[in-house]
Amino acid sequence: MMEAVENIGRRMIICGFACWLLIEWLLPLEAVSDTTNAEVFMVFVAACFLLYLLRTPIWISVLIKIAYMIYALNSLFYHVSYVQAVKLIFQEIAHHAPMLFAARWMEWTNSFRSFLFFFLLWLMAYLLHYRLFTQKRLFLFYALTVTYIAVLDTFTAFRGNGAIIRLVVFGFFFLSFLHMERLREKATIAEGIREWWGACLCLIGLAIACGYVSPKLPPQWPDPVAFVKSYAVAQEEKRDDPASAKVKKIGYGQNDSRLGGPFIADDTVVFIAEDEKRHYWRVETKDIYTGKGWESFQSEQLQSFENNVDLGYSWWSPAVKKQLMTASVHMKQSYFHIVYPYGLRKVKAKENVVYRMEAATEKIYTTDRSAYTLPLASYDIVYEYPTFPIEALKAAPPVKDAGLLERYTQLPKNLPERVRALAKQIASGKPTQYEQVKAIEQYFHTNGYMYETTDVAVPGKNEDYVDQFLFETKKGYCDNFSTSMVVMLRAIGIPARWVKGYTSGRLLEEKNGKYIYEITNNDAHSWVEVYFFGIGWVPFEPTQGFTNPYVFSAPQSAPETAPLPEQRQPEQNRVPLDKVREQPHSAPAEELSLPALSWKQAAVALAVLLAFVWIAYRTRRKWWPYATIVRFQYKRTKGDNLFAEAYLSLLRHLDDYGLKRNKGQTLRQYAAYVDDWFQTNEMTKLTLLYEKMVYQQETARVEWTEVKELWENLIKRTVS
Amino acid sequence: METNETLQPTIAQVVENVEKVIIGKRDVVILSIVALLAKGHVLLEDVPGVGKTMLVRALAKSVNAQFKRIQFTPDLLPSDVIGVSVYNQKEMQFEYKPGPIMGNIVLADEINRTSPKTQSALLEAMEEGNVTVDGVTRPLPRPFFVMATQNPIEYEGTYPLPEAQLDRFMFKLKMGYPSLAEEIEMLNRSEKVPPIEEIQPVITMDELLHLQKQVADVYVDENVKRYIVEMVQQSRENASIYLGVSPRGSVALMKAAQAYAFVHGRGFVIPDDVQFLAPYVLSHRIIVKSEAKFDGLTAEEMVAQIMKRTPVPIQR
Repeated sequence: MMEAVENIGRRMIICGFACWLLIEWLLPLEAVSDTTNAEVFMVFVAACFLLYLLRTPIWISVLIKIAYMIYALNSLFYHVSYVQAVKLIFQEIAHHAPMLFAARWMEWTNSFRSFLFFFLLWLMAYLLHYRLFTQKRLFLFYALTVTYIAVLDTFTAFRGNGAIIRLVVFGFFFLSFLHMERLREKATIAEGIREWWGACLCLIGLAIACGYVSPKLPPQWPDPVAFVKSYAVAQEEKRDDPASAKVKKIGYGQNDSRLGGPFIADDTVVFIAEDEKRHYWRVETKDIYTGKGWESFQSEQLQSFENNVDLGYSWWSPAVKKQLMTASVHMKQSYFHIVYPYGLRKVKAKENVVYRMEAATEKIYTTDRSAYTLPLASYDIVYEYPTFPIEALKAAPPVKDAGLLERYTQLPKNLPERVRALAKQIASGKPTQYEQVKAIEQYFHTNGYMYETTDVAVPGKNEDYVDQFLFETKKGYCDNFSTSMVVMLRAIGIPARWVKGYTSGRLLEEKNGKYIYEITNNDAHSWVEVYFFGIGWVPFEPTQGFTNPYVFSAPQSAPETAPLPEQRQPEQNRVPLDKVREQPHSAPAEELSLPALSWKQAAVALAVLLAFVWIAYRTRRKWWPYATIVRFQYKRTKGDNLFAEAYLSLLRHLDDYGLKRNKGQTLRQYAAYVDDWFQTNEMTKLTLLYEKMVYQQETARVEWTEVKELWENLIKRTVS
Repeated sequence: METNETLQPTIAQVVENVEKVIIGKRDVVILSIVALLAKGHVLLEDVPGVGKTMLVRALAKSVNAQFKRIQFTPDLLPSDVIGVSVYNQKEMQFEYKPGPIMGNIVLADEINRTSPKTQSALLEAMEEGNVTVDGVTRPLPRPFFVMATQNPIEYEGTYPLPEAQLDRFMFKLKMGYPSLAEEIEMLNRSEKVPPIEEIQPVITMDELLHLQKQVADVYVDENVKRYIVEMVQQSRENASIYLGVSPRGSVALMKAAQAYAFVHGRGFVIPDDVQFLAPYVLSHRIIVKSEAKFDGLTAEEMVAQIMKRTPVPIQR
């Protein structure tokens, strides 16, 4: 009876899993193809397995399946009476079958495709059922399913997170279940099943816990899709021009380690801004030039600031004139960072958000209290619009700060010499840093450099991105211009960095003194910031066809006295970034990230604890007997009971050791068995004493000290 | 014997004495003594010639008891067993002529050959310890121990003992054939004088009665009693058993265990005693269902099964 119930249970598990696995294939269909009503097929699959489970006679199950197919096709496509539907299906088969062999698949109607799909599913269900019930094997199909989900997740819009988790959890369980079934077939192993369940579930649970707790890094490689696609394009283009292998660049991206290639127009709206002034929108700065592109300075340092609270971050020295402005940003795309103007003072959002600025890149992430990223839909900004006094810029002495210089004049060792030479040539004869910077900025406007988005080269393996643009192609877009300017500035020892963000975008309308701008992916932009001692970072715009939205005020309005005192007290006006760098452990950041860490730590601690308990349990025979000996060493209560307790504890140890006592076995019989196993007579001696304690009228006094040795010897024998 | 426990010295003497005659049947000898001490009776079921009579005679001689033998035949009447009142013309009154049952140790040979009427006369006497003839109740001598035998081979013209009667025997034992060496030894000993003629009493009747009293003092712990009852109750609940063990069975088991513990010089009963005795005490009190019989299950196997299933008490 039990056997039968167990059998049915096993069959149910197998059928259920197979059915689920097949349905897992159907789930992404609606997302990745133009299939609709996938649930119709899922029901069909479920029905197939249900029929297998019930062991329906074959003719009944065939009838049921065909009836379902007719019903489904009719209610999806034909909407006629069932008799007519059958007729129509026959007609379609007759009509489309020849096409099948003529490879005219595109001409098939949806109804015929659905019909064939039903058959395919039928076949799959049958094969799965066959493999499962006769061979008890499914690894191949399981591996295929994982691959299928992974491929869909990578190359299509389908998000396979849930599917992957389900596959891991249920799939592993099912595979081990099948393994057990195969073993059961080979030899009747009724024992150990429970341990297997426990071990299997523990392992899966541990895997899930680890997966859940461990940090989820963002993709470490660039999205392979673009690469694969560009590779395909490159293959096509190679026929015409073998030299032009290109990387496509779409909108604002995170990864700038390989620049170059054509820029594909993408007019997806990123955000709408209501603003009082036209200016650039910053996202982040990058400062390591590799010869192929840009990378960020690696730093974990974050500076946190609260919603609607002043940053406390001084962008420029007081020498720079500022004008307080407000703006509102309405995001149309979801990002975990904000776009902000220069001179940002406050950000205000509805959400309970914490802003965390990466000190190295000045990228501002939006997170919640527990440091989880929280994309904002819209936010208000208060900022200071700067006006840079040209005289102060001109008066700025060369930068001396060694750390700053090292970081912002970094260049790759293999930078071609002609780049340095060109920079020196342009800068020669210019007395101040400002004039040198201006000269380099202007250089692009007069020397035949062209703004170009489609015919842009990618540097070859031994080519430098800047070198290629400056001397060979002279065609490019913002990245080419800005990178080249930064590199040239650095070549002559002026600290400069590369900034990414958006231009001011397209003006839509003017409303109550505010301008409404629409910023699309096409407005993604990059420009240059140059550090001026005593002033701060100043934006410059080298790209052909773009103008710097910031005002450089003429000398008459800026008396020379203004900037000069600032120069005398440079320490106060040190670049904020430096300040941040000098205070590596900003308290608020740590405080705020604490809850998140502690939560994860708790989970990790729990996992470690579980692992420890598990190990302790597995190795118990090595330490438990000794623990018991120690326990009784210091137990000095109630002499008689102590021996009884010790004896019962010995029984537990022996049982754990593997010397099981049947419940119908008397202590003497068991003692004889134990003694036979260990080749002693200690257990019998001990048992005869214990017997007196249990069965005699006046409980005998057994001196614990007398039997202790016997008992300890036996306990030690259970160590293995 | 599972453990090599030494016997109580007096008992050891008796056993040794009986073993001069009965070779290699220590268990049967000890069980007989146990029954004698526990005031029970024994049913020996075996083929003729394996020494059943010899065992009883040796035992009787060892304890210096009066030995009587009744050969049960189909025409035996109850009065032939328990005695009869005869009119004494000289005294002008009825005089009781004691039957062969008036002995200390009575061998009831081939008990299943006689009519149920005679059988029940014996068994009543066994149970009550006295006989009633012509309205006068006469006590049987003390100690009183019956060892009945029955032949399992020839069933023709026999009256198998009903369940109610079997219940009155404490043990049902089987002698079994001796081994080769044992049988040779038997021949050696019987070469000149039959050894039964040579053995001498080792204890007196009074001593025996004293021993019987001592047996009753052997302590049975609550947990062991519970163990006995659990076993007996399982026999009543078992699906393959038609009739389980009666409460008389549990009393017999406990008393036998007391005697057995005493025989081994112990003042208390341990589960091992119960386990050793259970097959002899319980098997003949169980009727296995016909279905189970067809499956090859015997009462002995059922008892073994029950023993396996009943948890042994290992704690107070």
